[in-house]
Amino acid sequence: MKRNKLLLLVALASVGCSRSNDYPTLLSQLEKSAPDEKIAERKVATLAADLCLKDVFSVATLKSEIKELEKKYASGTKVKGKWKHLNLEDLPIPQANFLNTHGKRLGDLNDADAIDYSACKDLPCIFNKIYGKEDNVAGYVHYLWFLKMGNYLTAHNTVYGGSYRDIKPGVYNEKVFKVSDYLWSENELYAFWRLFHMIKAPHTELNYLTEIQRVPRGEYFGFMSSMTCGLAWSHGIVSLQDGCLPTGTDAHPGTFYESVLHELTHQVDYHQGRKLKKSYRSDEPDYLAVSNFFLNEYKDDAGKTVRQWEHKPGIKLASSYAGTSPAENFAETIAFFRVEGSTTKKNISPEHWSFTSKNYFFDKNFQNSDLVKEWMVNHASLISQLAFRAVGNCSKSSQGFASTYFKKTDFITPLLPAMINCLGAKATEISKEVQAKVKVSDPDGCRVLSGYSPSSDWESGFKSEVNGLMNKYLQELQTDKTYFAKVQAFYDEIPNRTIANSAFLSCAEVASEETCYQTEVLRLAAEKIAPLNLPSSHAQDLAELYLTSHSIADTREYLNGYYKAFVLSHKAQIDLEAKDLWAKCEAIPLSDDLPPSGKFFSVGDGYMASSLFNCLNADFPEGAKSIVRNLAVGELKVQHPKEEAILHEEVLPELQKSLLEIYKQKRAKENKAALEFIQNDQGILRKKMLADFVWVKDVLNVSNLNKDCQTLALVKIDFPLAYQLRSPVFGGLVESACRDIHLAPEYNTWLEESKSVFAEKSVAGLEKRILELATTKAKGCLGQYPVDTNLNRIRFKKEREACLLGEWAAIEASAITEFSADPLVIKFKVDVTAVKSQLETNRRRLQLKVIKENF
Amino acid sequence: MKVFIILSLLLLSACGAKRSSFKIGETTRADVIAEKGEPLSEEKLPAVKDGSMMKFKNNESIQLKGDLVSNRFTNPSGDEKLVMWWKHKFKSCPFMKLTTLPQDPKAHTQPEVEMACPEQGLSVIYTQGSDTISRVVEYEKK
Repeated sequence: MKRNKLLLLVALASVGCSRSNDYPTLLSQLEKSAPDEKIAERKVATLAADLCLKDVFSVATLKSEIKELEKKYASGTKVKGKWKHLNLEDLPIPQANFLNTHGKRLGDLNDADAIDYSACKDLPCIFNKIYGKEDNVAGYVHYLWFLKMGNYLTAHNTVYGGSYRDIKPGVYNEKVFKVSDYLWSENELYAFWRLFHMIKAPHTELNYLTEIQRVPRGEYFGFMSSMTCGLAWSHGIVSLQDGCLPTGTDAHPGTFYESVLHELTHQVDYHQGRKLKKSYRSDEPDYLAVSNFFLNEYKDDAGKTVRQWEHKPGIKLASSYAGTSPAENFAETIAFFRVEGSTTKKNISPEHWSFTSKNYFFDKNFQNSDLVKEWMVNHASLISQLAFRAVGNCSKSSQGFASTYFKKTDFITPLLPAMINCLGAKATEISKEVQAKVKVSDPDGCRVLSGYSPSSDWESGFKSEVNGLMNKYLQELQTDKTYFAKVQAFYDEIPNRTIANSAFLSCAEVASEETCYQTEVLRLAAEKIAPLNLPSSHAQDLAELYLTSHSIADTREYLNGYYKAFVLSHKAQIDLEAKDLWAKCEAIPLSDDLPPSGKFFSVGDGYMASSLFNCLNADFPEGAKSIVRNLAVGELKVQHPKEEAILHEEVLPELQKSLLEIYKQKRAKENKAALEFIQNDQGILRKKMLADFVWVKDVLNVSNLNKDCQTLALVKIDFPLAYQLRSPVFGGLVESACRDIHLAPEYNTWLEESKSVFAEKSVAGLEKRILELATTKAKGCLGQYPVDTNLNRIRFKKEREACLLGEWAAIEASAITEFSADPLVIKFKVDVTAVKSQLETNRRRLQLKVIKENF
Repeated sequence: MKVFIILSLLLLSACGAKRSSFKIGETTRADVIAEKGEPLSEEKLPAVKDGSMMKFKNNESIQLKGDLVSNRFTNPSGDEKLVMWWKHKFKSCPFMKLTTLPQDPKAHTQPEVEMACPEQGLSVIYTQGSDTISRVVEYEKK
């Protein structure tokens, strides 16, 4: 931001923002109540230059990250209940939440007691028991993944297969596997850990993603091409197979990252689509426009619906696979954008690039040069401190240094060559130190900085940064010897989010949120800097440095994550509200009188009685509000309007999930009862169908007879269903009740007795067939002699009728041939001559009917 | 008051005519244009004999066979976006049919499903597992 703009913004601060500063926030209470333990930083005292992120992947690092995330749950509602020997109340809330939700899907799903968990007192231990290890990274990565992502990186022996296959624990592609074959390798677990340090919202906010499963080692999906390495199911499951999981090294990462990110991005597509009431977000016109896809949609000559995606001319693709459909394009582009930034920039159109950056990466880019710029910002405090120290040391030191890093023209004040050499040598050391820090702390550090050429992107950016700082300090030290001590205090404050959080919560108006946030951050930072009595330009630099370190996107994500964790820490309250809501709606008598209506709660492509569905949807908003109103930290309930709005957004998906869980349980219970009903039928339904034959509408056609039988049989089943349609549940039962019903003695007795009635029905059936054939012919005649204008209607009247009536004899003959060949006509020796005679009587009536209806 | 009632009636009749004004197999191209104006685009359908497709605003497509309307594709609105709404609508349909639509064999997302009630001349398309309808298709009742 330019300085003049900065001043203007600060000046406008008091009028430009819509503030809500007068309300106390839960956030401040939460921060006060969180355990004030110093969390061990991921820090290595003296970093070797060749260390990478993987070198700090350890139980200690993972534990410290877990501790930091668990702090957010400290003030939550304890979960009641037990998991095996563990009291859930004794566990940290997220661990209890996990066991409450996924506790039945751990380890060997064929035998819950196959693994002895009795020595475990926490969730990582439970995971490690499944791995057969003690205090291993595996347990902590699984738990950390749940804490950060909210879904379950599975450690059990099933893989979902949709309608393609049954889910049998321990069996895949009809082969038997051990639980360990379904578990992730240590490299894969490291890659998941590295990945979640690479991604942010929306990938970290996939509320409907439940499980990420591993296909047993060495197996393909079976029902898909062997090229498919991952599947993303729209109801929230991702399954991955070996082909998606090559991890590589930090310097040369394998395809794991783009593959897993691709599948997670499908989930983003579903998730954002769901919010728009669409199947996929990527089918929206704005995405089709930037990705250059269009849909070719029609019904073919056989009446089959065709919907195929086509490319517009000039389409540019992140990969050839991205050309398959907009959904694959979306997943592929976003994955490659993050993982292969430099290549992807060349492969896709500038519009598509900007769209992806703006909408999915908070305007960030991931070319090497972009990453280096970001690291400079993130490590600005460290670089500044080291640069300042270098200036101080070089001013006093008489030690000789050989360095060509700086030229005398790099400095605005005249310096002696020994000083220039000293600063150059120190700058080289700082560069190495900061690079070493980046390499062990940033997932892209070693990939970018461990190349064969020591990153020219880094050197040029770093040199200009450190040179600027040294110039500033050289100048300041001449006038103010205490300068460093003053600014150091503020540098230490930069990682503190208080100013950023406070600014974010004070800006309530969506339209002006970003401008308001920037103004407010600068104002609050300026207040903090004021006591340091720095020159105004330096004070502004520091305020801007704070803003650069806490962009609105970063603060929004941090706070959303914080509030999400807070809401999840009260999951027990949400479950309770869902149960109450369900019980209230279930008490209303079931009915389908009104069509289903509502946008808050749905059951995928499932079914439920509309009275229940409508009630749940009608009461959902009040239920969500009630949960938010009752959220509290200590005695303090929600008062801050923006905080309330954020919490409301976080509560909605959790309430939906709780209701969906109840739906699944109720449906499973109903399904079990229906299966028992079917087993107990023992031919009762068939007897009901053979008790009378008022349902018979077509005695000529066995297939129609069977259909009529099944339609009525479905109605006759006396079993109320609230959560499923009758035909899928009882389809098998009605099919067996009506199978070969035309051969049943009861039916044939009825037929014999009804022979005279049958003869009448026969003629009616024959006439129906003649009308069908004649209508088809009439449509053909219309093509030849149209009625598209009044003139044509009158002009071609005679020709149209002649066209139809000229073929009438052939139509009758064709229908009589079909009629005569019918087994029932043969069986009952129907007198075809008599039928023909009756047809002659009715001929003109039929002809007039067809003319009237069609011409 | 009278003017208000007449205007209301006119408005009601105009809205009510929205979905039912076309008779599949009877309405002609000229009728469509008379009602909806000129299409945004009109193209031959090479894969369909005598087939062409007229496209209108709001992503509405009308397929012609020769001169007659054979199919109509529209986006659902309101509660009609819910798969559940259509499951209820087709509940009394004696032979509701679910067909998985073919997709690019390389794709590994879930396929689209067409849920059809031939007796009502209506089908809807949604992605397997999704709660949302992407398209409504009208065709000749059977």
